[in-house]
Amino acid sequence: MATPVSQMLTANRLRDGDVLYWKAGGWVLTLPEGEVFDDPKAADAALAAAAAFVQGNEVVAPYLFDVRVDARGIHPVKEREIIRAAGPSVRSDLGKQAAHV
Amino acid sequence: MYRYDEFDAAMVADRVAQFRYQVERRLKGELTEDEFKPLRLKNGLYLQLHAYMLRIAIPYGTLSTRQVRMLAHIARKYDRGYGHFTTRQNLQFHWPKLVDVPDILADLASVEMHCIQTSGNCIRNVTADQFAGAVAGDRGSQRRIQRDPLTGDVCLSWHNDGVLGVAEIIPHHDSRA
Repeated sequence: MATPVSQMLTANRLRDGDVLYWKAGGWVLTLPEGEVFDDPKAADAALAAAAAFVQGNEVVAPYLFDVRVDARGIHPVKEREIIRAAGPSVRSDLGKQAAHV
Repeated sequence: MYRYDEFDAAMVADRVAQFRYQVERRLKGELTEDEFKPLRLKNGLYLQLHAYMLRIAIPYGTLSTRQVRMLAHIARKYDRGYGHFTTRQNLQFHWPKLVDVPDILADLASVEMHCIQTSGNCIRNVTADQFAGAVAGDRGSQRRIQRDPLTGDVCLSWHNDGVLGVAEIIPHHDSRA
């Protein structure tokens, strides 16, 4: 049986463009640290709360995206979010993935 | 190689000051992202998957050693030590911080460089075969720049279907900026 789809909330930081993930009313820098929403209403509520950070000129364009969670961790459904979470696919020494090189 | 006269230098300096003010207003919240986006794009600044990206114009694809050294300086000081030369012979930095971009533009202006019109529907460096449409045996080349009669936008593609032609069909990728 396929793993059910959950959601996470992401945005880019205004000052430097870095990728951010929502966690408990704030932002963290990596996908594994981020908050996973199994309930669509909770995800929508987080997205609404993120508007305050847009108004506060801290982040740009927050949005929800689909993930699957299993014993190995959190996996974005779409390739775009896999790449955003890791870094450039042609340079494993850059981006967030560089911390693991 | 293109060399600035006093009018070019003054115009580019004005644009650097103008963008510095626009960035200040964006960071203070006096401009929304929707208001700021067309302003940053006019200065070659995109917000992409991982970070901002700044595209620098290199007219004719030619650089002096002074300019190359400045690009290396910018890569080391403001980015991650590298840049990416594009198919249209420009240069992109992929990790600049928004707060640093006005200083980067000022450094570029000091060596007669800028990022003006490196985004959007405008004329870029031509990267087609120089003999396309000019030699016998090249059939039916279209050597023209088309302008949209409604929007005034310049078509980015310079099509060539000739035997000798090597066309660069340029996607309208600026829509994802």
